[in-house]
Amino acid sequence: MPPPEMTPEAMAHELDLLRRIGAGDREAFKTFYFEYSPRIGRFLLKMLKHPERVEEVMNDVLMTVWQSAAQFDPAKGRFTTWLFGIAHNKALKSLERERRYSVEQAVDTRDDADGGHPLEDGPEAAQDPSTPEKTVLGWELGDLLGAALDRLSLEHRTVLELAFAEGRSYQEIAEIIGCPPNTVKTRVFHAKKKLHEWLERRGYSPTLLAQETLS
Amino acid sequence: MNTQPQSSAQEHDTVRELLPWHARQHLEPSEQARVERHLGECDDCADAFAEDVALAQLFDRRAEPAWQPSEAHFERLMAMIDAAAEPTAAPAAPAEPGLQNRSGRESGRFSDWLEWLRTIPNPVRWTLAVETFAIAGLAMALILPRAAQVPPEPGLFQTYSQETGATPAGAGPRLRVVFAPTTTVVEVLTLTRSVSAQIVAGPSALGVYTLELGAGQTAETAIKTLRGDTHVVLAEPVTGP
Repeated sequence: MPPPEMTPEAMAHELDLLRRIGAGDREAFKTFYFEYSPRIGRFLLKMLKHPERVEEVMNDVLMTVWQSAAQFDPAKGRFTTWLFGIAHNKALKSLERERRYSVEQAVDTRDDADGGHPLEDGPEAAQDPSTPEKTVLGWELGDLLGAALDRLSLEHRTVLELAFAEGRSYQEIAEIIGCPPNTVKTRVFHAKKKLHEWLERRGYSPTLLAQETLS
Repeated sequence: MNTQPQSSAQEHDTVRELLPWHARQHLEPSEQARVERHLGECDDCADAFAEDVALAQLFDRRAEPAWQPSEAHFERLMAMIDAAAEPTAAPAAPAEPGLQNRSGRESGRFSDWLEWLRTIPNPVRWTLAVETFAIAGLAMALILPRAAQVPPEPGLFQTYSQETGATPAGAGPRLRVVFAPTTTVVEVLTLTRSVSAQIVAGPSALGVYTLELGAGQTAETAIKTLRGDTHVVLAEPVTGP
């Protein structure tokens, strides 16, 4: 769901927390942790896909907040945009580290792809183009969006999640992922196109899917 | 059918890219007015907008993955933060005891090297150390096959049931471990092997290693062993959110 617009009171609370964290106040940091980590965790889960990796990246994000809270300048943007930017950056670094450390695993996956026996059920099955009808029938309709998102690249998936799930403006997304606003708009456009194409191959469109999941 | 005049093709493209944020009502008032004006003239964009509204509904209705904060995780986090903060005090600390009595050019060079090493961020330092060890391991792997060709000493023999040692790997539970900043690479590897584990990830920016225990090993036993060692600052099982 998109984040609600912030009230002046909520904004003051946020800035007060940051000021206290910047001064090394552990209680304030704890309050911040319980208020904000669920949103960051949800975003990280979508980016990283593997829950066991989330805690490690979450720790890196929170560590950065602990160390840099005093440097946050509210005149430069929303705090949550800054926070999501840190999370995005740390998640990318984690994925890069994982890629370097899992060469052996990657070989296994390639072997698996050649053999046509997916390691996991669910979203992985969506990547097998030989049985599209079967996989659609095997899903709950609500899962179809998740399966379609899993087929997208990390870049495409991330901008769609930020635009549609997190309700971020294109200017905020540009800040979070560190690219020009026009690039964000173009990326979302192409990501949607790929998502639509994948759904259409299975006889669905977002409108049709939304109607069927409503009924 | 697209009814927009040819001259407004650029406007069509511009508005089309703004539709997701119009569906989410996240446009500036001027952009919103521009989009609404165009939607009244362009059937293609009106259809695309309907698809974006439906897509937004699908995102709203799906089951979101959840991360649950906990007191236990917060305590682990603070322990890591405290452990990571320790090296910042290192420059003010006296020199290594073993180096204090050394003199001369060689000692000076070594001190310079240590100073240089201290300027490198901890995670990078560890990465360099691990990579150096990996290179040494590769060199050993090249040498060992030749050594294996040397006939065994008379009277020595092995059976198939005998432990070959050095096969800790995988498929068991995972642990998250933070070593004390003074722990050497050899000590890290020795400790890892002592619990029949291997390093599968790390060190992270916080200096956290992820260890994977061998099949049949229990996390409880390994954690007890690790926590009993003074080089280990933190040892916790990896759990989902």
